Amino acid sequence: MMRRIVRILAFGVAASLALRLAPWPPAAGAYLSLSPLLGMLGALAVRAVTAWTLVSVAVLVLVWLRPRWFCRYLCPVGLITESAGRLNPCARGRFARFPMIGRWLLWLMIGGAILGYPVFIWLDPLSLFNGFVSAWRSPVSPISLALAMGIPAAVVISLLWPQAWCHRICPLGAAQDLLIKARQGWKRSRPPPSSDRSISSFRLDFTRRGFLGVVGGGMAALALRRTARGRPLPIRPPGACDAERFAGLCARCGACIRACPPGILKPDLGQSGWTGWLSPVVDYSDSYCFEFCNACTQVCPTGAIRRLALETKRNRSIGLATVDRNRCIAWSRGRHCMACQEFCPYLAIDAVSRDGVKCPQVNADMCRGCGACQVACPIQPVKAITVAGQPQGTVMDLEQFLLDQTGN
Amino acid sequence: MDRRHFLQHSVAAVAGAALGVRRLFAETVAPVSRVVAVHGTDIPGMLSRGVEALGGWPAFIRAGKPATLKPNIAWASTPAQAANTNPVLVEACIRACQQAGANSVVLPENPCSPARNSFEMSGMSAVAKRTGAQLYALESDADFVNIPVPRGTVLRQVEVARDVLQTGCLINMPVAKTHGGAGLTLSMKNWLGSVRDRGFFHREGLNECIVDCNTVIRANLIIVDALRIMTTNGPRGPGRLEAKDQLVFGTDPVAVDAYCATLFDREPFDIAHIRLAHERNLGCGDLSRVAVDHLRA
Repeated sequence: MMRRIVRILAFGVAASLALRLAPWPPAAGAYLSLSPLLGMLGALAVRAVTAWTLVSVAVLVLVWLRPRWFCRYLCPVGLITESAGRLNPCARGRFARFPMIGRWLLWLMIGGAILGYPVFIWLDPLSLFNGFVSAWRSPVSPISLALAMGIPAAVVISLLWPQAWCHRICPLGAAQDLLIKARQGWKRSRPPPSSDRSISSFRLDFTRRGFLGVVGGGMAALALRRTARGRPLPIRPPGACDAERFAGLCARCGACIRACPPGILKPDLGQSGWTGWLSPVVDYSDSYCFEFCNACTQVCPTGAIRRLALETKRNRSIGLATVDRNRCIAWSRGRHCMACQEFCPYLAIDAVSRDGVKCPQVNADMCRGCGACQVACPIQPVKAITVAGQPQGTVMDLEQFLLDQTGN
Repeated sequence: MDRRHFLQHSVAAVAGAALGVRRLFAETVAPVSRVVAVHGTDIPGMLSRGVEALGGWPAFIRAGKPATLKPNIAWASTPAQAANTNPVLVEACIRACQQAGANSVVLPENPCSPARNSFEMSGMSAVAKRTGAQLYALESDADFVNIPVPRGTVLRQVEVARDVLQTGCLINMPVAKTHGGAGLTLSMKNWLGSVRDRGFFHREGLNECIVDCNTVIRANLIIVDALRIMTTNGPRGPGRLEAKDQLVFGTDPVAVDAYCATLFDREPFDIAHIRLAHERNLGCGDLSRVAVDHLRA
């Protein structure tokens, strides 16, 4: 009874955080940070530990003390799949014949994480749940709904093979099972080491399958990282790690997409290749990346998007704007416009005088690729100034630029 | 009508016409417009001094009717950056309107930055909260009225904020800044924050559209915030600010803008939209024919 109350409460908390009902932006990623899979494998892959990682370490300790504690209390997907499984009582126990997919997924994931590309990390249950809940943000589109497909798939599997999701597929479930085994082994090894069988069986289990899985994951990571090479770079959220690793590190949880106030983050459908499917890309067709906002950088559970302070984010370039002089009415028709310069928050558009008419030119040292110019450009339907993806970097501080400007 | 009456009427008509003509001639020599520049730092004091010089608040505010204020609240930037109209000035003006009997004070704005952030960062939300004025972002169809522009050269019709067109008193409160496309942004350019489709203006000829727009929107009173003027990187900034410590009052937008242009050391007629507006008789941009009163408060 107690457990049911806690579960339903946890479900409610997870859903309301995913829906961003809490006003504090980082809250959108708070529940996700409970998952040791996202937090720890993410930290391993980006080789950086944050305060949120420590939360997942705490969860891991609890799971060590109480077997499958996470599944039984905190996991909203566990609640959903269990309830679905109960609808098909005839199929009870059928899951026992289901292959141990989860354990293999976990080994692959760990192997990938060591090489910066935790493959299959998007199968994390909290990530699937978050993607499902946050996809219903209006306006709902087929693209945004693609993020929501994980939970329906899990439900279908649970209807056919009740309990198979948690016990056979979920990599976080498998991780907890391994912990149980390890704990048993550890406990038995503490009294005088008379019978070594259980420990050795655990060790064996790791050495054979685990080794194969980890090596396989590493090789998959190496192969998948290559797919990003030689492609035009999509515009990623500020703080995103390099293009090679991003597609692997992104858990497709949709937290950043949900967190973005102007709604310019969209799930990718091909820009970054098939490996980057559903990862967040920036789309400037409606709005731009606000200069006073760092919401998306505060919610990522894996560290695919680094946490950036607002000041750091303001100096982070995510792309570069270019003027198409054939389209621009100042360059091609001698009209007074300069809307792009007017809207640029970073003074990155210079005016070049041409027959008494000011024409825009991008100052690459100052441009952050925020897209304000592209949105402001009055030319329809294809804008005369557009932003293209670039490797992210740090550009000159606005205050410093102003000082230099007034100094001259 | 008998002969006597005909003669009486004729004499009266001729005399009247003669007087009228004399007045007309007299005006070509004497100033045709008046601008009041109040210097100082006490903003509420400067405000009442300037309005007093133009006839006092009762001359503008109609008791029991709403008053619409159009400060510039275009950008998500702080009062220190002076890209938006000074909030202290706006607050003083709202309170003066309320005291003069306006039944409500409305501030409609179509900002360039996201509305919520513009209103918060500019300090205008706080002002509206303190004074009870209605500050809102122009967004829905119902906020605008589509009107024809009979004297327009490029603009044939334009969607303007309903509260700008239908009000008891319209007060234009721009802040003086440089501007990429228009050279300077003063009172005439400020209406771009009251229309819906700014993109059209930029696409089809910014200066012509600014002037066309001013043929259909005319403020009862103009108060230009020239306390600190942005001389570089306008209109958004951050740019260099020069303290001019002035508020500029008037009812003729061309004369007010012409005077303000001189604060930037610019010839008024070098600013295309001021020259065009003068040529099209929207007001007098020729400062030799504008009486500029300098007051202190």
